[in-house]
Amino acid sequence: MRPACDRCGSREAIHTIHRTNENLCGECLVQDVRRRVFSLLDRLVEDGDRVAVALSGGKDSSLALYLLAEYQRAERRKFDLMAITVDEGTAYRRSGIEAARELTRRLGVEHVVVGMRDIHGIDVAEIRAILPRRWRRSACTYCGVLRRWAINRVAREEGATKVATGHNLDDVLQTHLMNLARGDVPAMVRSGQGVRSPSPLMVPRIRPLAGVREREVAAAALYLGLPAHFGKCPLTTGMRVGVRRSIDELELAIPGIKEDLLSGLWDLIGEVRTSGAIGVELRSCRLCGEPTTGEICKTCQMKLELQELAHRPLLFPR
Amino acid sequence: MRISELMRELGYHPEAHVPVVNGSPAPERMYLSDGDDVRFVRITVHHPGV
Repeated sequence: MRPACDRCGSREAIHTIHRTNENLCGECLVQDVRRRVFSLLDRLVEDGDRVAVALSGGKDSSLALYLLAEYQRAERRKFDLMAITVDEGTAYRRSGIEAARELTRRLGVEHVVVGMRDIHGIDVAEIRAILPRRWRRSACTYCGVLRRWAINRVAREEGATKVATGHNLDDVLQTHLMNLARGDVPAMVRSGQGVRSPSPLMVPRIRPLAGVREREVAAAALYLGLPAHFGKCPLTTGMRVGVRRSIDELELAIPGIKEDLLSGLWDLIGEVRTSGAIGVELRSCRLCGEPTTGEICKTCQMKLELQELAHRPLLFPR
Repeated sequence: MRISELMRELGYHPEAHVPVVNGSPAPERMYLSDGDDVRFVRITVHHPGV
C-alpha cells in the first residue's frame, strides 16, 4: 500500500526525500525538481544562447535535456537547444546512444553524434585492450579527458555558447571533495557554474542538475518514462567510488549533509574566486591548438602515451 | 514489511538504489503486500569496502 503524497495529500507517493523525510508523488517530485532547476537556469542561461547538452543517454543528461526543453518552451529565456553525444566505442555505450536518439527525436531537439575514434583515432574499447596491467591510469581517466575535449570542440564548431552537462548534486559534491583532497583549489574554482575561461576556445559549462540528488534524478526519470539508460559505466574505477561511498554513509548518519557540504563549498569557492587569488595563464597546445596551461594539453599528453602503447599514430586535429 | 527494512536486509544502500514496486518508483516507507513485484534499480556504482 503506497502512502499518500505529503505535499498534495491526494496522489500516491513514489519517492522519499531523505533530507526532509517527505513522501512525494511523481507530480510533486517533478515539480520540486523543476523549480530548483528553473531557478538555477534563470541565472545560467541568457537570451541568445545556444545551449549544447552533453547527452550520454543516461538518466542524468536525459533529465537535464528534458528540463532544458521544458525551460525553452516556458520562454523564460530565448535560446537554441541542441545535444551532442560522443560514442566512446564500448558495448555499454550502445544502449545509451539509442536512448539519446529516441529522446532527442521525441523532444524535437537537434542531435549530433560523434565517434571518439573519428576524432581522436582511438576509442575506449581499444584503450582498455592496450593498457598494461597496473598501468598508472585507468581507461576511465582517458575516456573522461578525451570525451570532454571532443564535446568542447564539437560544441564550439556547432556555435554553442554554453555546454550543459547532466552532473547532479552528488557528482558535483564528489568532484569538489576529490579536488580538495588533492589540494587542487584552482580546479575547484574553475569548475564553478558557467565560469568563463580566459580562452574563448573553452565553451562555458553549466550544470542544471547541480541542486538535485542522484536518487531524485533517477526517480524523476523513471516517473517521466524518459528513454534513459540506467546504471553507471562498468569501467568506473578510482577515487570517486570511495568518496561516493563515504559521503553516502555520512548522509545516512546526518540526513541533509550533502546539501550542507555543497553549500559550504560553493561559499568557499566564491570567496576564493572573488579574492582573485587563483589566476591561470593560458596558451595554445602545440599539438591541437586548444587552451592549456602548459606546452601540451592534458588530452594530447594522454594521446601521446596511448600512441606509444598502440604502436601507431593517433589523430591530433587542430 | 517496509521497503526500507527489505533494503537493509538485502544490503541495498538507499542512496545508491531506487525501489520500483509493480513497475513504478516507490517510497522507502511503503509497506509491501503479498504479490508485490519489487525491483531495485541500481543508480550508481557503489562497491562495498573500497
